Amino acid sequence: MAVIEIKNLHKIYKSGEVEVPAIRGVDLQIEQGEFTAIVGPSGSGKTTLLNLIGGLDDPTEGVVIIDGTDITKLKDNQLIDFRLWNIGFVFQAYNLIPVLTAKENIEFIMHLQGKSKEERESRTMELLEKVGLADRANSRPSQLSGGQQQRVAVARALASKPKFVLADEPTANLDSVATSNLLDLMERLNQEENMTFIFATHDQRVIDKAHRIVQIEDGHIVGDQQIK
Amino acid sequence: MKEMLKIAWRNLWRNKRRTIITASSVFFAALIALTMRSFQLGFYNYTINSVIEHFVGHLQIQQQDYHNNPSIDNVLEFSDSLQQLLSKDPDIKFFIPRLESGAMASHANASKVCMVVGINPIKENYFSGISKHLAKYKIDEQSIQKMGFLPAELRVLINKAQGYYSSKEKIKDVLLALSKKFGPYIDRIAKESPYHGHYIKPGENQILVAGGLANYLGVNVGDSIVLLGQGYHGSTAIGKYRIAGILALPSPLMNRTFIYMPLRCAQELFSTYDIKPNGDTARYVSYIAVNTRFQASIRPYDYIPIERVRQRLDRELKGKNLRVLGWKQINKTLYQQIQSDNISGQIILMVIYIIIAFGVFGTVLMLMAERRKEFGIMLSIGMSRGKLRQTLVLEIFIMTVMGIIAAILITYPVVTYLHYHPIYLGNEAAKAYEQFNFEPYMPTQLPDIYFLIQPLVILIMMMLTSIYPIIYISKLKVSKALRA
Ligand SMILES: Nc1ncnc2c1ncn2[C@@H]1O[C@H](COP(=O)(O)OP(=O)(O)OP(=O)(O)O)[C@@H](O)[C@H]1O
Ligand SMILES: [Mg+2]
Repeated sequence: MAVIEIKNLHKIYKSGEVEVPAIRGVDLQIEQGEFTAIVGPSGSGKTTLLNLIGGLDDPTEGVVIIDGTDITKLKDNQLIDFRLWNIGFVFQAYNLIPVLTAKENIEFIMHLQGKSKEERESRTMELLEKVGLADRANSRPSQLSGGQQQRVAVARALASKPKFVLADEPTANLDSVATSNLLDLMERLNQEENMTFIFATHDQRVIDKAHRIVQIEDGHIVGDQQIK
Repeated sequence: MKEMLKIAWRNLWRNKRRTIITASSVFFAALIALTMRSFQLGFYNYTINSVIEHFVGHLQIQQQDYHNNPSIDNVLEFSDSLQQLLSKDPDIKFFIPRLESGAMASHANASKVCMVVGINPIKENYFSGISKHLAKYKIDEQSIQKMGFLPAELRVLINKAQGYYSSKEKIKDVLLALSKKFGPYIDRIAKESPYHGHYIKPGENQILVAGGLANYLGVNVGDSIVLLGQGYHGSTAIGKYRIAGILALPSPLMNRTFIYMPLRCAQELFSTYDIKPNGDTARYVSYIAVNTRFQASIRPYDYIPIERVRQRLDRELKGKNLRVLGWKQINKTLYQQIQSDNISGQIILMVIYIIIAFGVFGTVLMLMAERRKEFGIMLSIGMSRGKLRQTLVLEIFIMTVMGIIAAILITYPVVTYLHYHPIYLGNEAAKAYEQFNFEPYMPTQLPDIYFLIQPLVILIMMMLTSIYPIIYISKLKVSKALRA
């Protein structure tokens, strides 16, 4: 069974009299363990699609079923709780809570989940090791480089043991070294932990790494290739 | 909650300057509020203590018509049975009779209208402490003549301080209010201006004359004054009395008009007695001042037990053509003045609070605008709106409480000190006190319940600003916030 099942998804933004159709009839299935890039030119609807999958926005029409739950039917507070337990997020930048250290940012999610102190601490250390930042555990985001911040964000996204991670242009602000570090990290997590990753991107370096490429234009899916 | 507290606390120090400025504005509001309240309440209680506890009494027993028409005919009999009734009453701590009436006082060619008050010398002194006003110093032309040690400038200035003084402290307060330069000369000035007199004793035919009146009539201790007036039921009141002492009364009005004499003496002067059919003598007084075992103050709930005693006494004395009045009825003006001053003081504080609340609100607006994207991320990753609201409310709460606690820590010792070492108001500033017979000091109120209530009001006002973040977070659309 697919982790994510999208059927006939539409999203029309209304600003006053003007209607902007951002997503126009998308059908898509994502399986457990995928490493998928959603690509397309600026304004094609990548962010909108990711937001709809992540339950950050509600569709005008259609359904998004995650592991059997139609999230379009959930109420706001149920949706927040659903995200907490099921979805990891990595955004383009400023992902982290600035007043918390790297370690605390990762722990915070498990705090919200009500996990015990021992569990929080061991998982946090494990994740910091995995993203190679154990030595920066007590640094605040402002004391970390952009690439380091994104790696902490990935660790945080994994902290809740989600079903999949959504990443909207995670490399947009990074140089090529930091980009390839981050991509290697995510690929390794995908392989070692069978974690599902979905990114929106128009960064060729990211596209090159993807196992599946979903192309989107004007809110339509115009291509879907399995590479590896 | 601990986690939210940690985040809120650290958020506050993201913009240290802004947090400190905001907390300081709360601090100043609380500082002004507590200081102002302390002086206000201190003044009210000082007034009530001086005027009500030690002069008017919590209650007065009067003849039915006396309050509206305080004439010598509307008197009541201070009978043994009435005295017994009051003595036995467990709620009554103290009672004292007085006979008051106007008369003309003359000496040699001078004469002036005065107020004669017949008192029980011992009890009255215990109650209103008249003897502490007894003049022990007199600064006049003669004594100034002897003050060659004063610099010329001060010898001119001291003329303004001519008059009677009951203590060296008073001389000091008055002279220092005129000029600080008097400081080193106080002791010698006092030494050159001694005055002697004594308090009146029951049964004596002697009187105490207020300083202003004595000056006008040109009399001194040992001289005699002739009093002429209207007595009970149209009789003529006339008598000649020797002056035992001069009183330096703080109230200028009283100081111009008052003469005290023993009650029996006044009853003879105004003929306020009757021979009863059984041969006994009925002796009359204008009213009986009564203090209950409770405390008089401006606080509404302090009046409740006093009013209860008043109603009970009033019922018990109903059949006797008597009436019991509470101090708020007797001294309506005093009560209303305090009341309106109190209310206007509170309005001023409210205005200050509102201004400061707007300042805090400005900070809240800025902080919300800055963190819009961060809120979006927090909601995305699964922080509930409730918890997000909690951190924001906590931030406002911590800022406010920091300001309030700092204000309490500073105000508490200052106000306590000023209670025990009250500020003396100079002659000019003392006008407000003049109509009441007490010294122009400005004691503060010791910190009590108002030190809780005012900060609480401030806290509530400031917390009202958290309505904005609460609503803002409830309405925030995650996808829009992320775009910011
Ligand atoms: N809140 C909104 N209100 C109105 N129109 C919107 C809103 N959000 C997005 N759009 C429009 O929807 C379309 C898709 O936008 P979206 O952000 O999903 O594109 P994108 O593929 O992520 O672009 P980019 O690569 O620049 O990030 C665009 O035309 C955009 O202008
Ligand atoms: Mg986008």
